[in-house]
Amino acid sequence: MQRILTLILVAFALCLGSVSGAEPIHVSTFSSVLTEVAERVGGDLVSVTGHVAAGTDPHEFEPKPSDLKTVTKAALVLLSAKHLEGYVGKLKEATGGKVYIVEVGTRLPSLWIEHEGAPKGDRIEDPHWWHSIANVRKATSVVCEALSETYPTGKVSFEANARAYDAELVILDKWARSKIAELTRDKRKLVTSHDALQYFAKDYGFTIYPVTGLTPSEQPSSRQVADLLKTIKTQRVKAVFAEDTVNPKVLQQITSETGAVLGGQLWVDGLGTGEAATYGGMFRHNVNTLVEALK
Amino acid sequence: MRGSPLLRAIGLFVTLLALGIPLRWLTRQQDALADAARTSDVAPLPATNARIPVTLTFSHQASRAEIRHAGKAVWVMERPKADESFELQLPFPKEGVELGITVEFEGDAYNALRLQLTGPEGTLYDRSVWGAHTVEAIVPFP
Repeated sequence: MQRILTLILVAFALCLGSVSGAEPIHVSTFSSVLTEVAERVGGDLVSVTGHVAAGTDPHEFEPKPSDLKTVTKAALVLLSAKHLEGYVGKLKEATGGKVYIVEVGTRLPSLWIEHEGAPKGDRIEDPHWWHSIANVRKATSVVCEALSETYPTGKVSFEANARAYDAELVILDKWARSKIAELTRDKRKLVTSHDALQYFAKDYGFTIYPVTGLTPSEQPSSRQVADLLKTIKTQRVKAVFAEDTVNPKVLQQITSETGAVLGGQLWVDGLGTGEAATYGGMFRHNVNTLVEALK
Repeated sequence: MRGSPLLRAIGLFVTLLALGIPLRWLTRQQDALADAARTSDVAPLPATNARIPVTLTFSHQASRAEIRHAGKAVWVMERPKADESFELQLPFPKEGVELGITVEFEGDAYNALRLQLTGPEGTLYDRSVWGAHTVEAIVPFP
């Protein structure tokens, strides 16, 4: 009798557990930065699938059928936007309008960049918004809003998590300003493989001389390289920087012809690996690399 | 105008072609001028040290105040007076300077520090930093 009673109690406890312990809501992201934001804001209530792994070139990424299958099961999809995901139509088609898709970048301020080779005056929206901490703070509140709409019961928890993450971003910005102040303003000139750091440059007073345009796959023309060599010499640029997703061969040619040094590798197309596996780590790595090389 | 429509069309075409030659010559000259302007856009040599007059005004007694430039302390004072005037020797490039400020005020009330700085070209810059107890800020000039 006692054994039967125990079995009944265990069965009841299991049933209770399955009712009260709600399943986490599934979120799909197509940006490694948004993966971190969704995980930090969502906490235990959310299970996040990051489709674009850290260190992957998001300009070249194309979702596989398995990605589309996962997306159809998600409650929320977060996109970087600003024309970074050329496959957004494919995602909308796959989900048939049944999944809440939030294009986070469309809610953030944009920088418009003159594009080499395009008719004069033609400008392109710079998709690399996460290099401005102010933009990531806004993105955090956009993600918090989207999660709260998707799962209203978790709103209080999402807001508390967003506040905690935002406080970390404020400290990160303060640290970056203090570290960058070690560089006098006339030294804040840098050459990067592709034009991905304009938001960063605007926030911290840098001038960027990119080898190519907004996507790393673009090949610089001989005229572009010649112009850049001249600029590096005339502007007395001290160091050039390689990127995680770009072959550094052109930069090596530039350093050998100008005397500028190779300042190190920057993570520009999203989160990286090792110390750059978190947003704070990626940002600190980039700032430290720039400041030490340009001093 | 006399002549067949075909002859008139040919005449018009030749006239337009003739106008194109000076137009091309003029625009090529403009390109060349722009190139020349670009090449003369040389960054000045690194700025040499200039004497920069600075005045600090504290709203409340501070136990310590520090000014940093390029990551190094350039002025430190324990228990500074309500008004402090001194000169800093700093490179002041055309892009301007950023000074790191740390002030430790006595007590926990909200306080301010006013910085007045005269650049090498004679411009007076006026900035304030606010905070409770310890104030840390990077202040740009201009």
